[in-house]
Amino acid sequence: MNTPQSYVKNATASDAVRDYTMLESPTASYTLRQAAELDDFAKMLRSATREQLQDSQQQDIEKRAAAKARRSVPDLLRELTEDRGMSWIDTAQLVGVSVSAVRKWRKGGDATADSRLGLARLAAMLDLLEELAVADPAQWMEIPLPLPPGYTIRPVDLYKLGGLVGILSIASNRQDPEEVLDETTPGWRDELRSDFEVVTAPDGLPALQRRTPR
Amino acid sequence: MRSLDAPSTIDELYRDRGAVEITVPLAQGDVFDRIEVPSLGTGPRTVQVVMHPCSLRQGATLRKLITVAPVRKVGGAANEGTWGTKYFNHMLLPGLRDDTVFYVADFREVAPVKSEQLVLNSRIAALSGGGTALLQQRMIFALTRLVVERTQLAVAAAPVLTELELQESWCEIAVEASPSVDPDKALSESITDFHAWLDQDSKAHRRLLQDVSRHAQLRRDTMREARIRYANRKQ
Repeated sequence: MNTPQSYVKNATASDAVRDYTMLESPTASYTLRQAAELDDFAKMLRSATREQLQDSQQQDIEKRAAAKARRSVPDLLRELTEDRGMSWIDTAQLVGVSVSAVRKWRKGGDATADSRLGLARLAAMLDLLEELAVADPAQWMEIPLPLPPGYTIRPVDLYKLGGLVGILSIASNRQDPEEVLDETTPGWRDELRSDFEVVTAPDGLPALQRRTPR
Repeated sequence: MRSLDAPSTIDELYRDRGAVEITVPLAQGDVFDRIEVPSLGTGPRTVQVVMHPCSLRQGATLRKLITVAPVRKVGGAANEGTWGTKYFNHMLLPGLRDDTVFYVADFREVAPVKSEQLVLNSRIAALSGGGTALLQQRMIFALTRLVVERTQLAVAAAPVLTELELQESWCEIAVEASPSVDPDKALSESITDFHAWLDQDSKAHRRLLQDVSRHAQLRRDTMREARIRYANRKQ
């Protein structure tokens, strides 16, 4: 049977204890080592269960998408844009086509099987968000995630970056947005940072201004 | 220095090339053929609308004068590197006519034209939302040498882009529901209807445009209202 240590790949809490000057009391030293090993084991377990959960969620999305893909393309579009309130621009981008292509589909234009599945996947994703108690999933997808100053990233942007499962983790409060972005888009802190922020100008319309250091 | 951005593909730059549906509202980045620009000399030319979308209209109607940049062919081809290294006073329009020719719009020769000239059947291309942000980024750089991230430009433009999207959805429903009416007339009436609806109840719907977190609700309300309104008219 595997011991907790055999799972550990990198530096661990128990490694740190080994380098630590032994406490005078052998009992205290033993307890500290045991606690560190347990902490390593808990982290490993958390990581393993998260991976398993993410795999299951990905499979769940795909199953739901396959079921939804049986519906017609105009039906799927009606659900996404009229019932849910997704924008045509975001819908098109998330499926990887142009806005005019999507609008043509509404009138009966041909969509590829991939595009149809893409629409179905998006619709399935919104269903899942609703099940996670997100009251208005299309609205939530457009609201910027709570991130440090300098970043305006919405769930819809994360979806474009392939972070479907990450979106579910954020919606269910299992992971914070920074953690999800670190996993899905490792360079995001440099690549997606902006020196500008959007503010409301005296005429009531949006304006850009250079972000002031805090 | 942060580089000016490039689209990942030409398709990402354009919303439409060739025919553009008449229900698509005239917007920044649209390219028109056969437009007379008196200040640039005689003869028709191809131009790109460069006026900011917030400034193009007064309510439902276009301003009398709209600023455009002349479009011309250039040699060679535009690759990803071209966007960040060359043509800093231009908007790059590769494959504008769904071809392999490289066109640019020149910001140094921006001039006003009468909006009545910009008839929708002369429109040969419309930019995507991302393409419009690229145009704005290049215009800002040409005027000030400042690079503004296109993500933030897109955030700032979200209210007006949503308004245009809602207008298009509304007008599509109206035109489809009136097959026996001249499409131009149905379109013109539906644009007026849409803006009147946005402004009713002390501009209640129009105010929601400024709050991105209300856009999903506004989209649902707009589509529902248009469907009810034009279904009734059809009967």
